[in-house]
Amino acid sequence: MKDGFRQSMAALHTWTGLLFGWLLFAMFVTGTAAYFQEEISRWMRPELVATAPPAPATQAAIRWLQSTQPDAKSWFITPPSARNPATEVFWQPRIVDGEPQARRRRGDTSATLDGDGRVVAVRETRGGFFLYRFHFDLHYMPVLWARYLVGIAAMFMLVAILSGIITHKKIFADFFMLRFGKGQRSWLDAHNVTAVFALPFYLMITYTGLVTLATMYMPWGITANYTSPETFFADVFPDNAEVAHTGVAAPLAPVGPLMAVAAQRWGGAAIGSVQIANPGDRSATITLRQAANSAIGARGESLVFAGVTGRVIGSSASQGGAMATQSVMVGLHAGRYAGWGLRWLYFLSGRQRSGPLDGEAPRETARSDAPAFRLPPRGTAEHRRHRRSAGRHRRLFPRQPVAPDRHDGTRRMGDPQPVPDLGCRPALDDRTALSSCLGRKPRPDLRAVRRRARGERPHRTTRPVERPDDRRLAVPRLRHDDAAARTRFRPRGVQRGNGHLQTPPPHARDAGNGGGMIHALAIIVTTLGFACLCAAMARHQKDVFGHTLTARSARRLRIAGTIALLSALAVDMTCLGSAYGAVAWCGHLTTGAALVLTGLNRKAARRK
Amino acid sequence: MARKRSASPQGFAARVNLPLRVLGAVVGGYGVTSLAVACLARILPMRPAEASIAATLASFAIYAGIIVAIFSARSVLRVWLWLGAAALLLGGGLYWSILTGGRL
Repeated sequence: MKDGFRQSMAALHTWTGLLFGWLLFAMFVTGTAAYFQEEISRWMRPELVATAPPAPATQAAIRWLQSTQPDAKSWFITPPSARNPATEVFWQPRIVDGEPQARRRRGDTSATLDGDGRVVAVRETRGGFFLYRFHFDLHYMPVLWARYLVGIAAMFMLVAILSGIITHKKIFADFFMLRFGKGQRSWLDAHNVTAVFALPFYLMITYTGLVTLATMYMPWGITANYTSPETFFADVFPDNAEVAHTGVAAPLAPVGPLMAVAAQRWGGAAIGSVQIANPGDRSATITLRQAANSAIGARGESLVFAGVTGRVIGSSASQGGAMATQSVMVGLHAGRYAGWGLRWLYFLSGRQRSGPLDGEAPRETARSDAPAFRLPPRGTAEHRRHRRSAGRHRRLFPRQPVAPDRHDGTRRMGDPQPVPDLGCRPALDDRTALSSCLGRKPRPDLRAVRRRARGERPHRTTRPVERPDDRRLAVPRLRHDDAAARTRFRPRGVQRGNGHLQTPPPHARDAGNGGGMIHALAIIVTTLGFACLCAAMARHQKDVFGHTLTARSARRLRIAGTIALLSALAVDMTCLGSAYGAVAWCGHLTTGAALVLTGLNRKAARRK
Repeated sequence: MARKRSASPQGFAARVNLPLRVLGAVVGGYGVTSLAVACLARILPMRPAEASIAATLASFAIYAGIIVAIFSARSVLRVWLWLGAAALLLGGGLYWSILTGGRL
């Protein structure tokens, strides 16, 4: 029965992969790119230049909102950060009874401000945000449909991964097996190798992806205990209850000191967002949330202040185990916590998956009598075509069908968080995000593309401004002259080298002094480890040494390799923190294995 | 195996094998998973909100496990018998639990 089991799993693997591979491919490409959402947006809107540190910028944004939107129900401000130089604001208009609710467009309730609280005329583009939303909203169809479709595809992916693992019983032995110039077999090998490289990543990303929308796909856990989702949310977020509007006007306390208090409480973590409910009213509250990059969990800590007096009146309730797990899962998926090093590792792992989904046939299927994936008979034209297209070694890692590099990218840190995470993100964000995307979708980008295709000049909405001199992805530089501000709010990329100015908080170590060195060290160690493991296999000894080794030295190599991999884990966990280190280790493994494989590839080619 | 069976012609039983399994996996599996999640949310010894979330987090693993089991089962009849039995058991338990405990 054992063999039958694996065969049925092979069939399941093939079909689950094939049926939704097309959609998964689009999701992987856009999702991977979305890890650099902010940087893409930045690149696409070069007119945005940072002018102020977060606290004054927030105060300026409040001044602007006071003068333009005094009657709003709530304001939501995202202060400038290392990755996004502008202040983003949006507001919820107060709904007056008896007045029909006007259908709103995106630009009607949001604005981009500079450090002095002036509206910045930025060109009409959604930038990297488009990619991010495409990842689960698919852009071309109604949002709810898209999310269900995406969920089904993710479930297929999960089943495909599980059945794939079962199918390849020698998963790690097969790992180093790449046979070149063998037509379809080579593609299958490449499929195996890339799949196993980042297997933990795929499992993680698929499962946590499902978790981000779990209450939508699997609402029955909540239905079992609560009569309605509202009672569930009220139970989970008691602080989030709406405060009644009193109608008595009162001035708002300055927000700067409150931000300082919060940052101090959170051990120097940045403020990700500022939400002000009932502004201008005696009942106003100011809620500060921790920046997304300060912890892995997606639901960061928050502090609630009385808007008029500035006293602390509440803080995020401590989370139970399940909630904390869920928060971390969503955080792992979104990768908002990741510094630039880990962000690139996420990118690499995701990019791999966007590649060989199309090599989706497991080797077992090819070996068995399954009709779908057999090599064409020798001597036929089809067979020759296969040989030509599969070609030699170098073609194993060919141009992969991914989006052009420059457009690959990011995630918006602490923006009006539209990530629907089990519906557990503060209800406001979700509701507004959903209503904004259920409305009309402006598609300026596509229009611009079409215009350009017609040979017209791109449509400029802004004064031409010189581009910031440093446009490297993931290493943004801010321009402020204020030295104090610079120490307080030093963008990560600049931190390297002169860290004596400021010790980065633990979460920023990755980007701070020596963060790059840790990544480099870990990658070197994992590469060595994989090289040892690879050399321990008889199959590769000919390629590497020209002769086979004795069983004893092979065993030694195997032990050395294992020790190297484990010590890389130890290095990562001690230098980057246990949780962050563990995630980074997966990425380092991927990179190390990829390097070994490329090397092996070269070596084998030279011997031919 | 699903494929192998349907490939060898054995009349009606062979023809409906695959469709029935797919139906069982997609619809039946989802149903049983939903019931299992609801039951877990009721019986896990935590606060209701915590239990609901914990059960929801486990749901996709349960669903995937059920799908794998369905496609590896020896016969499609067994699949549906198991699905029916699980649904009855879980559904009955849930019904009883809500009847006696109520919802918030």
